[in-house]
Amino acid sequence: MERELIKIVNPTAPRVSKRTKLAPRKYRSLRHKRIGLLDNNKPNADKFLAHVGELLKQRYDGVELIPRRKMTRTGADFLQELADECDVVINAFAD
Amino acid sequence: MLAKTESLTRGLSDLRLIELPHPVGSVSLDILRSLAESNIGSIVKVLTAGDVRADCTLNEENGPSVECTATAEVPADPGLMFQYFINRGWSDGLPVLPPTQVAIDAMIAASGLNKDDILGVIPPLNGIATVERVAANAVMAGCLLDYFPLVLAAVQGVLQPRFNLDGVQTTTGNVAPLVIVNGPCRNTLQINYSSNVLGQGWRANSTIGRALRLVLSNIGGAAPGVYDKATLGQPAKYTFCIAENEEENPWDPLHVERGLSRETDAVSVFGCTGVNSAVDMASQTAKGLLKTFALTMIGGLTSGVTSTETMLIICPEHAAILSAGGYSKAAIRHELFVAARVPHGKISDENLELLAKRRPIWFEHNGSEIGVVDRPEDLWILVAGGKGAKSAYIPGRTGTHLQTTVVASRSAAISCSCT
Repeated sequence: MERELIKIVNPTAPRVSKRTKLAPRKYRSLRHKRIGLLDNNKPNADKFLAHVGELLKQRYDGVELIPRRKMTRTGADFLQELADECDVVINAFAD
Repeated sequence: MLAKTESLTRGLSDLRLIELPHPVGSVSLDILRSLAESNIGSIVKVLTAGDVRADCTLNEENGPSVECTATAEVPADPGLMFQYFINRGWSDGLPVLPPTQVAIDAMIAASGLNKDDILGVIPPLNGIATVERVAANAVMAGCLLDYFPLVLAAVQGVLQPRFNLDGVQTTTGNVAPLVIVNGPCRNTLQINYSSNVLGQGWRANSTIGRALRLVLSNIGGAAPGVYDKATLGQPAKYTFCIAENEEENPWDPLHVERGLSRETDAVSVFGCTGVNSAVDMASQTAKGLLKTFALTMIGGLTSGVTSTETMLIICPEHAAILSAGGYSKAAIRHELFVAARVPHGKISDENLELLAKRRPIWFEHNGSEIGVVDRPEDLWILVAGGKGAKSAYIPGRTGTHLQTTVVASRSAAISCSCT
């Protein structure tokens, strides 16, 4: 019996693969740019992003900071809003 | 790790990520500042980088699917076969039955569906949930043929966007899907809704819940410790399927509340955290009992991370006292919504700050306390269990909403309604 084999169906499954191109990095500098700071609502995410924002303001003239907050998944509408309002976005992820 | 997986499964293999050392949430402002300073150069670099590719588009497209072998040959010896499944991560750690084509075909025939019908794509690795692969996992779990339509309904439920399966599958939280069965099939399929309803010993409860777990792990690819990042997990992640005790329920059962007829078979899924016992063998009045429930619910308001929806499973004896006291479900919800609150002063400053962001309504108008949910209707009330005076409170997960799916009859199309 030890050598006997039986055929089974694989309980895992083929996976969908997606391909999405990264948004173009159009800017050589962040001068006069609108920078989104996307807080994922985890502890300290907003504070870390605020520090990053301060440092960017010190480094580049005319930086406008746009703090935003989200819970769980980011909807398409919100993504479009970010794309419209910001030149670049820094997104906090995980915890 | 999760960010990398997320970006890969969404097709962004070249997404720029800056990793900070874990933990971030509990470190001081000074450490946060120094983390910002030491990473600012990298952050600027990934935002600019100078690689101007103005011609690229943001349109998402499906690439070729990542194939896996359709079949495998495994040792017939039960012990060796079990080890084979363990070695490939195809088991929950317990023995499984072999998913032979014959057994799977019988399961599919019981559903009236085609083997290649697709229920959806399961995160985090975007596994394609065909009827055949779901059936393979139902066979492994030990399901009888007649359970399979319920397994399919449970899978359809967790795939609803408002269940937020991405989060449930990968979170550090200790969430598990609780499967709740309503309708006549509870009796015809002998699904336990009486004594020890949350416990072991009933084939239908044990294997339907387990089939869903195996689908999530095997098809979704949520390998524990790799993509399933639960800090502790919980026993319900092996299996958690109950039925409601409609026979001893003085109110409308869950599926009727959800707009279905009593005669409809339905499966609901709820992203649950741990079970909190609400023991009260002494109170003889509805008012007294609700005080006990409120105390239990306050205990379930765990630090900072709060539930979007919560659930109270009331045992028949407690339900009878509440009903005799003239309480409807709506009245119970209202009273518990008011009573189950914690004064701000009992919550740590850091958590208060977090809660003010996540649940702002409790901080408006000089609010001084916080309730377990934001609205009375976010508390689900079920009746289940046997004799005894023990109910249970089960907080849900943030951002996850209960979903109810009609169990498709043998001839029905797969596109059954979900609410």
